Amino acid sequence: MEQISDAELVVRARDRGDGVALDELLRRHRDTAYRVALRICLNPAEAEDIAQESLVRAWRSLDRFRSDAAFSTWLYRITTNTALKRAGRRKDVVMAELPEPLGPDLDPAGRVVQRERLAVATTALASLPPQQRACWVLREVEGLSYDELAEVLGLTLAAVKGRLFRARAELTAALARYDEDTATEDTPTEDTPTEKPPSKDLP
Amino acid sequence: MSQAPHCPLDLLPADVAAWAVDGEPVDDVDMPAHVATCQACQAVVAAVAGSDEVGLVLRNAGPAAPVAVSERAAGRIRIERAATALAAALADAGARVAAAAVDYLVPRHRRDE
Repeated sequence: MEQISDAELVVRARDRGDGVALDELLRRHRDTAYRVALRICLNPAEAEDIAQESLVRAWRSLDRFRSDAAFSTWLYRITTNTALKRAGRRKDVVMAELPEPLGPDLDPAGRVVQRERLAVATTALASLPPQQRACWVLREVEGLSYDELAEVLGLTLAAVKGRLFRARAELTAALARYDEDTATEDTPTEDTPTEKPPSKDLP
Repeated sequence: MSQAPHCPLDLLPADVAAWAVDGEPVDDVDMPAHVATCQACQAVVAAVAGSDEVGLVLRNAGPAAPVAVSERAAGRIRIERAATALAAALADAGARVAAAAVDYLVPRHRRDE
């Protein structure tokens, strides 16, 4: 079953009522639906609901799915719309657990800095309007092309670029503020005790 | 009071940012050469620099969905499928009963006439 393409699974599940094909299709795409939902709504429990709802919606509208399109792109659209509808209703955001920073060769201090920078960026991401966040997530995390973004979000290319620009500028500004604050904390002031010069009396 | 630099080609910041981060082409403009001399576009490039590092971390740390997500979805789909089949069967049975009633009642009605 794992070698069968998504398009073939859709045909089997939709036209022949093949339950095994349906299970495989859902299993194959549940991570994508969950990941996108989580990055947009930033709430793990809600992301589970959104992912489940999106998979059911995708099944309900399998009749409208064109086999020449990628199933994943189609699911991105359904999941994003479902997540954005919910994000518009909710005000509370529960931050998901942060991933481990990249770079296994980082020393402990480097890992702490990386982790703090990631926390700052994730907070900045949470403060973006949901539509901007969705655009950024689909581009930067899911790697969709600009054309795919326009299709999934139902936007013009210019609108996609505009949203990405604002989201990126916000993240960069948040990281720059963090770096500035950290640099200020690390700079010794006149009041800061420094290492004493060696005493002349010492042998 | 200093004025913000202005791009002589009137390029949109969103287009410049898309080029800087993703290499999206800007029609008929040699972007590296232009940005090298345009302060406005340099400011845009600086405004988005480094934002992709966050995406890279998140991309490499995509959480897996709990198995229950697809299992519950499959359960709901099966229930909906069964309900649809039941509704169709009931509708079919109702139509048969109605047809049988007509078959039974019409001759009686004619006879009574």
